[in-house]
Formats: sequence, structure tokens, C-alpha cells
Amino acid sequence: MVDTRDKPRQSPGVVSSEVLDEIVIYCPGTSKAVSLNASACAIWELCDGTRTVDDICTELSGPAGLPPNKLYEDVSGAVSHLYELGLIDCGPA
Amino acid sequence: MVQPERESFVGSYPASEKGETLRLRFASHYVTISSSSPEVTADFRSSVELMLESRLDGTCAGKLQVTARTGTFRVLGPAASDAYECDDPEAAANRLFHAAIKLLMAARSDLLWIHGGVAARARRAMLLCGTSGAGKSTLVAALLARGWTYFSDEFAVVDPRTATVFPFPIALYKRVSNGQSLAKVEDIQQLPKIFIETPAHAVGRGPVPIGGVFFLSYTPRAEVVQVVDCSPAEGVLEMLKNSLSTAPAREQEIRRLCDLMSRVPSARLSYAHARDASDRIDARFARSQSASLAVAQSRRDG
Repeated sequence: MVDTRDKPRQSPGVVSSEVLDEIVIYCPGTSKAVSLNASACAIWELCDGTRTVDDICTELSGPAGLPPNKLYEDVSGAVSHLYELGLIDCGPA
Repeated sequence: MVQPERESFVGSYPASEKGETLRLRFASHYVTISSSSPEVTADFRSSVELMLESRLDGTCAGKLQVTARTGTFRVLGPAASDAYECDDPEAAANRLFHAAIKLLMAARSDLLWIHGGVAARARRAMLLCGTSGAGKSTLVAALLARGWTYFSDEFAVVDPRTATVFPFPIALYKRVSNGQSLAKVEDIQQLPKIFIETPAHAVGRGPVPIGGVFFLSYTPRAEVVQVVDCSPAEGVLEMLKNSLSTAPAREQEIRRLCDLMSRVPSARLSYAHARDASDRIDARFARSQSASLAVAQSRRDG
């Protein structure tokens, strides 16, 4: 579970490769690969260890045309999912 | 069909042992196989007859040797770890086959090696990928019966730079029903296989563009054929599941697959009856062919 103070960052060693407007992410440690659609890609790219989930929602609210609180559930869910897959690390920066 | 060259071999064999040399060709490469076991040679030959050639041009991907002494069959390759010994000629032929494939894969590591059947029509190929029992061979055979050209039963060898697939025409075998309904999908593995005769003129001669990829799922109780389009990234993940490459090259392989699947449409296809599934593949091919022709026409029209 991702804490509100956590600043998620892409796990070291994870490799991402673009395919049109999606991304395929591969984790050599687990040999797992996942695909991210355009929305998940936007979240993934903001997981750089400097932003909390709230910050990510604020960043995305402009392009999405929605207030940050309306995005929280989706962003938090996506970050939790990426964390469960071992693709991002969570914890205060 | 060009008959493979036959010759006595020397090397590590006693001069008194007569043997046969075969060349397994794939594109610009070949593997040389020297065998003193007629049983192993015959078994191996039956699997790769359409890929045996006597011409010497190209690059040798490696050499393999087979010996037979007092009921023991040995397969020897370039590396000590390739050595294999058994008392069953069929198992030795199987080992020989996989050793030859390994050499070709190493020689052409620039290509993507995918577990899949391939058939082509009008110089465009459809890849049929799936796990064992998904019906690759059955659907390839069904497409051949409709006049498609045979490319492969097991190995879809793809050049990601050009989005083309090479012929790799090993012998085509399909499973046949015993007339009883299957309790579970895994039971399909128990069904006997029959050889599908493929005349040389119905076999692909060179690489052709890939028209599409289907990821197959045999669903015995399905009432209709279901086709669900994959996004390019989903296509990459499905292709990875069917990849024959080894893990160390995975990152590069993913980049190549991303490049390929951004240009090639793919879909998941689940079915119960091969005829219905081949109808859908045929129809989809015709649609994509019409679309390509329309694009070409509009380009010509300026």
C-alpha cells in the first residue's frame, strides 16, 4: 500500500520501451514484463522520487482537465499496482 | 527437391565408418550434420526434408556429428556441453534437431525466434502463436487446405527491421481427434499426430511481410470464434510469452518487439473448431488486403 507521504520512483534496473503511445516495462530481476496504456504511462513518467501521489495528481490535473482530487483514486491505484509488480519503489525521498 | 549431397566423412570417425553429410539451410546460413547412424539420419531427415540443400554457398552456422556404436547414439556439437548420448535413435534425432536450431539461432541472433506457425497468401504472412496444444499446426494445415503457402509449423523467424518472416518449413504434423470430446484442454496432448504432406511448390521461398499475428487459444466449449484486437504493447507481451530467445538478450528483444508490433496488427483468437477459425483468419486477411490495396491506390492517386 502506498502512503500519502511516499515519493514513488522507478525501480533501478527496470527497462522501459515505447510502442506508439504505450510503454512496455521489463524488470530483469523478476523477468516480468507489463504494458502500460497512455494514462498509466503519464503516471509512470512522473514516478521519479520527487513527487508524492498528491503531487502527481496535481501535475496531471491540467492535461486531464480534472481537479486533482478526482484523479486521486486512479493515480493511487496505478501506483499501488506498479509497486506490487516491483516496478517502482515507495518511501519518503 | 534438390537431393542432399552424400559423402563419406572423416574427422573423428574411423575411416572404415561410412556416413552421410546433410546441410540444413536457413536463409544465408546452414548447419552441417555428419552422421554414421542411418536410423538417426532418417528420423532427422523426415523432420527437415524441405530444409535440406546441397549447395555450399552461405555461412556455416556450425557442425554437428552423430555416431552410433553398439546401440548407443551420440550427438556432438561445437561445445562440450552439446554432447548427448542415448540408446534411442528417435531421441537422438530430436536432440540433433534442437542442436541444429540452436546453432541457427546463435548465428542469426539479429532475428526474433518465436514459437509459432506461419502461413502466407499473396506474399503476406499470418503468424499463429500459442502454447503447445493451442492449435498452431491444425490451423496452419487448415489454411494450407485453402491454398495458403506453408512457412512453418513451429518457428516464426522474424526480421523486426523489415517486419518480414522467413520460411522455416519443418515437417508439418497435426493432431487428430479420436472422435471423443475432450474433458479438458490438456487432453489434446494425448491425441495422435499425423503428417501433413506439403509439396515443395506450396512452400515459401523467401521472407515476406507480416500481415498480422494471432495469439491462439483452443476453447473446446466455445460456440463462436472470438477475435479480440491487442494493443501494440499487449502484442509485445504476448509475443514475449512465445519467444524462444534466452533471457540475457531480453531487453534488446523487447525493443525489437516494440518496433515490430508498432507496425503489425495482432489479436487474440479463441476457437473450438479449426474450420471456423481459419474462416475468420481468411476473412481478416482479405479485409486487411483490401485496406492495403486502398492505401496503395490512394498513394498512386497522389
